[in-house]
Amino acid sequence: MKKKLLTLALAPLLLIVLSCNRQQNDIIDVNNLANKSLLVHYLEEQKIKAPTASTFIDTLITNSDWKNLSKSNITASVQLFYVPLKYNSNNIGIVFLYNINTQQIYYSHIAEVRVNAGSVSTQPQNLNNQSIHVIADFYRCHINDFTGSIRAYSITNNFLWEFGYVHGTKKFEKTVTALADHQAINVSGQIKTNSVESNNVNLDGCLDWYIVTWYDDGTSDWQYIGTSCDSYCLETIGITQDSMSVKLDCAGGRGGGGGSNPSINTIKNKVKDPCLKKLISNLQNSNKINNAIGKILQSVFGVNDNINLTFEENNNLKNSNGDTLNGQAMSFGNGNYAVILNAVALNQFSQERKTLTIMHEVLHDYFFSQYNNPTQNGHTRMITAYLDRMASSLEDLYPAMRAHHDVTLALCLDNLYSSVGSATGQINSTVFNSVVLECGLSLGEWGGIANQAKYASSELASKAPCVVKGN
Amino acid sequence: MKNVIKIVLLSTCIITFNNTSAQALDDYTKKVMLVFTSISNHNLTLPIYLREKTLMLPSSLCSYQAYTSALVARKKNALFIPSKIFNLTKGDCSVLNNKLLNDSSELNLISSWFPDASIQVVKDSITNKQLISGFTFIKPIFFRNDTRCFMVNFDATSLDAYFLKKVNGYWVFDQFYLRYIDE
Repeated sequence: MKKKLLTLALAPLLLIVLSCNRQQNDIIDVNNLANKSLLVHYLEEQKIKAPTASTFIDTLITNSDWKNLSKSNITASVQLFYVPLKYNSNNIGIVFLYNINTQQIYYSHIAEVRVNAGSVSTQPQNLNNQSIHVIADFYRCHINDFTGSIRAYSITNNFLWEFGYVHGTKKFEKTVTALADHQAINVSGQIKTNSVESNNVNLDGCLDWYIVTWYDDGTSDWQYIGTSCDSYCLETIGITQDSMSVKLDCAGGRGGGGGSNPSINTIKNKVKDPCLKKLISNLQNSNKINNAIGKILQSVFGVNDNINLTFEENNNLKNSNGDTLNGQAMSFGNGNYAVILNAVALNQFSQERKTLTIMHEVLHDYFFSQYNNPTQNGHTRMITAYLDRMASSLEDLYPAMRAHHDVTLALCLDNLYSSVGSATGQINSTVFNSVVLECGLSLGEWGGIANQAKYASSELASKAPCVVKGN
Repeated sequence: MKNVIKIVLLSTCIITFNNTSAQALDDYTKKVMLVFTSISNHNLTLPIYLREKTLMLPSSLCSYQAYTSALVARKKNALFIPSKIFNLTKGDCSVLNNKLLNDSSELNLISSWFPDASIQVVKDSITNKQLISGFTFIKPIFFRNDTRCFMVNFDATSLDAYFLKKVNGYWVFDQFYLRYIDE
């Protein structure tokens, strides 16, 4: 009798424990022909889009371990597929993000999970099992107690990014960037600097390419990977069955940061707040191909002495009514522009939201430079013609946000919401509301969705690298 | 008889004085009218929004105090200094700064001055703000023998200040002096 009672008492507890385990371990084995067909079809499409990478993509299809294809729910509308690659090390696979509503794969990359000893199991046979968990957690913006790094390459085999973690806290971020050949610092192997400034100066037409590791303490490591004297063929790193290799990318669609054409840098970053300074630097060093706003910043303002842009900080920035402003764009004539940021007012916001304010002001200056007689005001132009570019550029800088596209869009709308009104430079509320609906969001809920990543303490907000201890 | 002559002479003087004053006002007004007519004819491209191809003007052009106040609120100096970039001589700056500091009058615009249907003067100041999207115009300042002109239009969140120049008797856009937009 006692045993029965004990069993009855323990049964619900057991159910709860099993239920919890199921939630944590929600990776589903989805080895079936329909899923494989969907993913292969997507990869075949990528071959058409990038013909020069066709052979490499064929290799990916051949080396995919389709028997171990798995799936994980990231949000209510986004699923992640992961297929391990039968490469030399078994911590490499292909990640696909699938939108349940549109029933389409909208993003993919090769992922390499490097697990440091002392964290999760490093047994080779377990690495791929761990990889899907780590990657799924990355896209959920909840890296739990992971020590190691996640490196991403595009499907066309170009380095995209790498994030490093210690016990779930992001410690570094790797990008590819360029410096003028033999410029300023004598780089051999690795150098270390405290600078978070970016610099794309090129005096003799050649660019030295580096993988730059930006640490959250404000320091950075620069690893030389090669020199390119042809702006159409940039050196980057790719992945092979045996190792990582330096390669030439002449086909466009290149991943990674930098990507600047030979240029004279006329962008001055005078912002003192280390977080804002770093975020401006990130945008300035972003990949021009994937990051439309970064491209505007680099291509319009970073090209010659005729157009200069200065980022400044004013923590007492107010409008004519004395209301505190987050930012302001100014044009002083003769090709001189400024973005003024209020670090104190922006302090409450997440890096993502701060980055949008920077993009917003850069776009104003861009519009100043392009339009003498605008048929519509800058804010209306921004929401009707540049919202998608703002969203994709933000996701380029914060890859995990790709799994939360609704949050990205809502954040972009939030960035423009203070500009809704009836004044000349404001967005008509009817226009704003129609864009909200076009984004697939509801008028009553978009604000709440934005809040998921709006503030520094928000659930989906990234914490580092704004936690800058150095400088 | 003497008194009659005195009255006639006095009346003539008054009429002449009034006519001269009206003529002086008309000269400035004509110049302003030419600028706005050029905008509506699309001969002059300016950062001014046309509503359905109609230039909506407020019933008055503000004094320069509104402009200087807007800049002071942003802790920016409104006074001009000689500049090669903006092609401003010491004499130009003297004219411009004199107007900014000492002229506090407004210029009322009258519909009959603009028979062209593509220019409308909005009388109701509240409607005015909604119709022309809240733009405030300051009185244009003409300088260097009326070959150059400084104009400003602004609203609660943005400001455009720019120069025009006269080429072959027509006003054309020269360059921006200052632009800003909040947030």
